[in-house]
Amino acid sequence: MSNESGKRDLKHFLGLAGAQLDHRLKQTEASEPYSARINRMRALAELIKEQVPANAETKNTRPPTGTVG
Amino acid sequence: MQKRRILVLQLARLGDIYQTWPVLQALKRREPECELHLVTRSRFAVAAPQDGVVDRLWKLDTREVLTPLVDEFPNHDAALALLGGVCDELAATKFDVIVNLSFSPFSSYLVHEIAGESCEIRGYTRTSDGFLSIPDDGSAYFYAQVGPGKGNRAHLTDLFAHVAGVELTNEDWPARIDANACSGAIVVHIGASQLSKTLSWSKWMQVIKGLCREHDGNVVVVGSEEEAEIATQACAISGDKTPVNLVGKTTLGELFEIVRSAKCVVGGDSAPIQIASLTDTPCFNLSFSQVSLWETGPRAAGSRILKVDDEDSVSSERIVDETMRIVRGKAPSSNDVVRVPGRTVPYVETMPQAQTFEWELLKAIYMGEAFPAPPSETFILGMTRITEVNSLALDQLEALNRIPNNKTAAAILDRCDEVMEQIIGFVPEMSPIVRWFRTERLRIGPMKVADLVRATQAVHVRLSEVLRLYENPPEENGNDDVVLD
Repeated sequence: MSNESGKRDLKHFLGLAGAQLDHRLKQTEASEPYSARINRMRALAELIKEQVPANAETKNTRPPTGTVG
Repeated sequence: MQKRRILVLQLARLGDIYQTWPVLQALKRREPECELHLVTRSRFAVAAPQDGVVDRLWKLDTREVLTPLVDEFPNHDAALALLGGVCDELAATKFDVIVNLSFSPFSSYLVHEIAGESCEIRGYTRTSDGFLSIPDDGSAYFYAQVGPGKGNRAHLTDLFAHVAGVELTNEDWPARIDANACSGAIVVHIGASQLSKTLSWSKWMQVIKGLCREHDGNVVVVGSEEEAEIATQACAISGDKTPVNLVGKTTLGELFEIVRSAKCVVGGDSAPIQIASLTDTPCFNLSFSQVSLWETGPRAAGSRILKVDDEDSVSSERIVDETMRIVRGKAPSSNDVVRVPGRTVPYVETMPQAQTFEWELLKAIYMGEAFPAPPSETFILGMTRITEVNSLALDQLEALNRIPNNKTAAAILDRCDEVMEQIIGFVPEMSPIVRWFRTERLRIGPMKVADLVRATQAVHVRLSEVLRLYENPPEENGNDDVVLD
């Protein structure tokens, strides 16, 4: 396998894993308040995004009304 | 008494790790008794200082953490367990201070995970409800104002020092390698982390050829194994003198020695330029538009920087000429070259570069200097529009004060942000103010909604104080009546 196709496969699988993790995160966040478990899941999700940078988080601001965006 | 434990997180690449060295030195100089820990990624740990300044180096193996995910059926639990293991080990060390110089979302979650309750945190972390938390002013400045295309002119190393709460002195720049390899050579680094941050091999070939012709000493080409193929092409020169191709053949330690004993280092924005800052070797740095020369340029005395939009905008003859001018102690050929007088003094520009006004504005907002006179009528018009939007936002916050769940007011408030964004699209010179304002609002921590509205109001009031300055524009010499803390 060439280096380039290896990179493509890596991005594909990490993208897949990231999407599944995001889905799990949403379910967990809906059912419980922010916790160490969610923090670790978000950390892992960001680590994946660093490898697949098109989806990297750019904004995470608190709206003045306090609702989670 | 137990030694204080300080952890520095630097999860970026080689160049960033080298730019962290003076900060590590300064932390140890200020607190010699402290136990200094450093976390880097395993892949880049080789760039961590080896001179004993760091008491413990932690290598974060992100590849290992991600491996269970690289499969058709990703095993998230296995990856989380691996990440959790690293977090638990770091948390168990019970650090007194954590300095996060990574500025990434991942690092912010990591810090939140490993910091104990009494730990002092500098750099990005997370609040108890998971939002980004920016506890110190240096990191808030970084969040709002740093990056290519923005007006910042504070160098990354200085910003790292600010975040860490240390002031750098000359002694913090280590240069402890005395070997004399490749003495007097011109060292050329042809690679970069991205191809768009360097020249093509064919252009480097012309540069290397010209340097071989002009320079009495050797021309040494350096780089990583991955760059070996293009280096072979770029070094394929016939003639009396040919370059010494060491690409892929040196360890980082040997590279330090080569750079240390060189007359000059030539290259784009990459690790050898940062190594040269540590060894005080002058550089000729080609700064491409993907990076900000002010933030990641060389620091060694006598270095020079040329901003390059793309490789067609600079000739190989010009690169050779400017390099030889550094080697021969001559002035630059043109006033578009930025000069580096020394490691602890700012760069000198002869011809004002782009975004000078934005930098003046940043110094006024963050460093208490005079606010600059408005650069144009458009700027004043833009400020008037932002004032109107801010006034509208303050009205909505007042409405929220009276009725906390006023949905109309909340919706209008959201639109105010959008309108501000559109205005700075038309008048980019105003963006430092808007970015500062947004970041200050972001720094408001979790609290009751009523308190949140009041805290947000306070930030909008501070914005209106700045905007008021430009209702009656300052004179040519600026206006230093308002200083933001």
